[in-house]
Amino acid sequence: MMASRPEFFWLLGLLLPVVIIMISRYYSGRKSLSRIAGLWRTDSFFDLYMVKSFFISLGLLVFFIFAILSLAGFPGKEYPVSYEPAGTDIIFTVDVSESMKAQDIPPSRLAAASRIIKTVCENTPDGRFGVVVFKGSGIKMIPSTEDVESVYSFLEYLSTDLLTSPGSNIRSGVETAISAFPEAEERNKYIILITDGELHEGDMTEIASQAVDADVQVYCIGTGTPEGARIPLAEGGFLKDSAGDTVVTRLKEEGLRQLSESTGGKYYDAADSGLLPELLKVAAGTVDENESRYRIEVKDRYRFFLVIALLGLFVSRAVKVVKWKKEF
Amino acid sequence: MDSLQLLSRIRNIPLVSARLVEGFLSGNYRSVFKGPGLEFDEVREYSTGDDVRSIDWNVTSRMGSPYVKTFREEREMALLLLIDVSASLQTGSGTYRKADTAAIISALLAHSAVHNNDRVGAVFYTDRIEKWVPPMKGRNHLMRLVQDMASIEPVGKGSDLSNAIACVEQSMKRRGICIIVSDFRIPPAYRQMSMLSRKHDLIAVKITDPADKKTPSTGLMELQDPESGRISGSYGFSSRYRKDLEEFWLAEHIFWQRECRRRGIDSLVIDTEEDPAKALLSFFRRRKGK
Amino acid sequence: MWIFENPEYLLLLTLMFPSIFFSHFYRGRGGLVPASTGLWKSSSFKPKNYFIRLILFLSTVSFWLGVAFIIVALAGPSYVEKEKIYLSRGIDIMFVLDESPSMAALDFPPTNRFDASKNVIRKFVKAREHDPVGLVTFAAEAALRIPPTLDTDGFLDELEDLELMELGNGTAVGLGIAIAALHLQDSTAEEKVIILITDGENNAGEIVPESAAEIAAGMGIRIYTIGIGTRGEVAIEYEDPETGKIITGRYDSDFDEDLLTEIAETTNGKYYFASSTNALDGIIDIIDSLESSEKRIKIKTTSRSGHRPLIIMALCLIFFDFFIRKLIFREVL
Repeated sequence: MMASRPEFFWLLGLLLPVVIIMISRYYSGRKSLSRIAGLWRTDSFFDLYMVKSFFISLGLLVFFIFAILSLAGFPGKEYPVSYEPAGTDIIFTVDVSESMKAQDIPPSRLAAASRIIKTVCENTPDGRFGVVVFKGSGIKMIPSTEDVESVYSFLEYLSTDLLTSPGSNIRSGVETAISAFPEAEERNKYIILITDGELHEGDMTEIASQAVDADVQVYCIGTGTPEGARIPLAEGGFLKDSAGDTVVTRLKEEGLRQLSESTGGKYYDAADSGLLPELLKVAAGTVDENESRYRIEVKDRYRFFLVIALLGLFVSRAVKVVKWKKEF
Repeated sequence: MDSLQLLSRIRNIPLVSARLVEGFLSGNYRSVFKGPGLEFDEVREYSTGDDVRSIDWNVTSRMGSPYVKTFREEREMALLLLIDVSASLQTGSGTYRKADTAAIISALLAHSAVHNNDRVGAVFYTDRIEKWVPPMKGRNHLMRLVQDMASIEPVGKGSDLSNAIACVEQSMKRRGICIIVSDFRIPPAYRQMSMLSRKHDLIAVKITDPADKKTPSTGLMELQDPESGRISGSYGFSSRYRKDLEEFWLAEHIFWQRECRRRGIDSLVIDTEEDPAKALLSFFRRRKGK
Repeated sequence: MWIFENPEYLLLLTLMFPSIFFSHFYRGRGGLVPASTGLWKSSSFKPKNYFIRLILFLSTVSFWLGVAFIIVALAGPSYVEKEKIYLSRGIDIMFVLDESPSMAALDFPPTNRFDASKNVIRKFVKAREHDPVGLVTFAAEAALRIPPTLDTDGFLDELEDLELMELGNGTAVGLGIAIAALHLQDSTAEEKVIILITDGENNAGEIVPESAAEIAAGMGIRIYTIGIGTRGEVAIEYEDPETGKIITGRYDSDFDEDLLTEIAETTNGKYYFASSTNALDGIIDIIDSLESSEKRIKIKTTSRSGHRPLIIMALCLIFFDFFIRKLIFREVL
């Protein structure tokens, strides 16, 4: 059985110091008791202390362990939620950073992106599309619309000069895209992210959870190659950095792969020939008729563990509070 | 320590400390306590140094040479032990409880008295009179008394000395010796004590515990006063707490000593860690020396 | 809205009172070390360690607070959101707005014709939360500003940025209608509407308004035409977008009522004339009520359980108590 939030199991590491404290406190407590309660007390008093300490500590340990287990939570009851998507919403999120000019994917990365967008739009009849471009930050260029003409005419202007802020802020791009989906409708929501940038770990988990909350699946298309490519300049030659070396952009697909997979999407390489057919299949929403009516939601099973935790706490208290043998 | 162990310890007193009892009490008993009156013993010829006032003129005139009466302190004195059996004596931080030490002291005293053919009685008190054993002579009585000391199960929890003193005053008409054995964790009864000391020979024996002088370093716990049932936190890990508690008991002790001295009540402090027999011995030696 | 999935667990909270009583107030409880702490019925020792006692009090409070949190977490707190989901497709509406210089005429107090039109469009769009709305503006040329979209915020932002005269000097009504019709062609909506707001005569563009109206009619698009402005001479003031100069003057206002009527009639729409802000408001309201579609909605409830933060807090609180007592104060039991 796999926990829903296994990261909480790290908390179990706290138990070791807790146990150490408990054991050392038992011995020091025994000493304290003999100092103030006197040595004349019969052994039964100290036996009582031992038994009580044991059960109090045990109860507390049970509490800690099971509270942590309930935090982790385990997938429990499944129940269907009616779900009838009325169509498909796609927000294309395009990287327009300088490196998209690189021509390792002919004719250029940006042109390849534009081709992908056009193909998807043409082949998704009842789709609604929007376009977000990003560089240093994300900007919504075309709001979600059925009017593919406006998307096409925008694609003609698509260039790295659209935005001036430097950089390749994927996070801002995806955030803008998530907010671009119209509310109050039940549709399949996809983001098609076309970028050659890097996505850092911290940003990745945060946007992934935002996307999951908004019910958005992110499909990532990595343009570029791991080997890297040079960036051509309009006046000829290639972009150089301040040291005079030619800048080489390399694709780092790991973060993109994680982002797409954790939102239920998929990662593609732009050079992959199977990319478009697969993407179109996704966009068309070809899912089984029955399946699409319901979506299975899983409820976390945590209460069982929490009840045991509370019981542990109760036992630990009760053992302390109930006077045994009229003595302790 | 359960009552069986205590009993055996008390029973052993005649054997273990027989020498002590013989040595310090039987010999000195007479002179340690001023008796209630004098008893005519014999008449013998005057020798130099005899008190002129003690010449028996009747015998002198008959015999022709000076004779003096010799007296002996009245025999058959009554020793009455006022033994505190309140719950506060059921504690103790050392090897023994205060109650154990109290029982041993009482047993030693009772033993000595019986050994001298004196009458011995006892009042066991808490906030009420738990048991009243009238002064009587004899080994059997002693045995019964010692048995009572070991096995008494008090009903009350507090300790009201004035109540016990009132009881003694009613029942002891003739002058006797009263010894209060208590930890003096009682409401002040100094007025009643000085009244009692006017009529009887009164000794106050206070039993203390090592923890009263030096609070042990302990972890956090909750203490319950066995008499009042009051619960208070014990912060033995804090040096300030330990100092405060030590000062509290010290002030209490100093007050007790001063009151006893002011009212002319002989006082003796015995710690549970001390040997009660030795403590009694040195006390009586000191007293005789006065 | 916060609800409890199993509120019956909250009854456990009442058990806390006896628990607290037996733990802290009951004199016959266990775990107490018998030790004389005072004279009977007389003075007794009271510890003065107020700081330690304060810490202990806080620690105790945090323990019981932790217990309370656990119980509340057991009751299954969850945040339930009720969302309106539209099942029906709305009407696609395209505004075609004149932005020729004459729209700067100041006869719609407190502002000019153009801003008055923007205000009514804004009001209209806000009320139409489920109808995709787009915007085409025209002067000498015509351009799509916003494709028909449900993204109201995006629409309003774009509307705010609109300025007069960006498309030159002229009134290409036909071009405006044609562009609007073009961008409605992919629409899957059953009803499509163009709302044309202008104050002039068609004097520019390659397409005659009549033929544009026919194209629209062929696509099943209804056109409502609104002629705004007063007849006669009116004051005018606008900023030339190229030179940045403020241009003021008088302008002899007139517009082609016949043309607008014809366009409306060709496409089964209606022509309105608005000579004041109130009239314009009223007309938009009329169109709004004419173009109301049947709305089918369902309420989708999504619940998000909130037990985790509570358990985390409870764990922290109880661990804090444990830590204070056992590690700092070396509690015996």
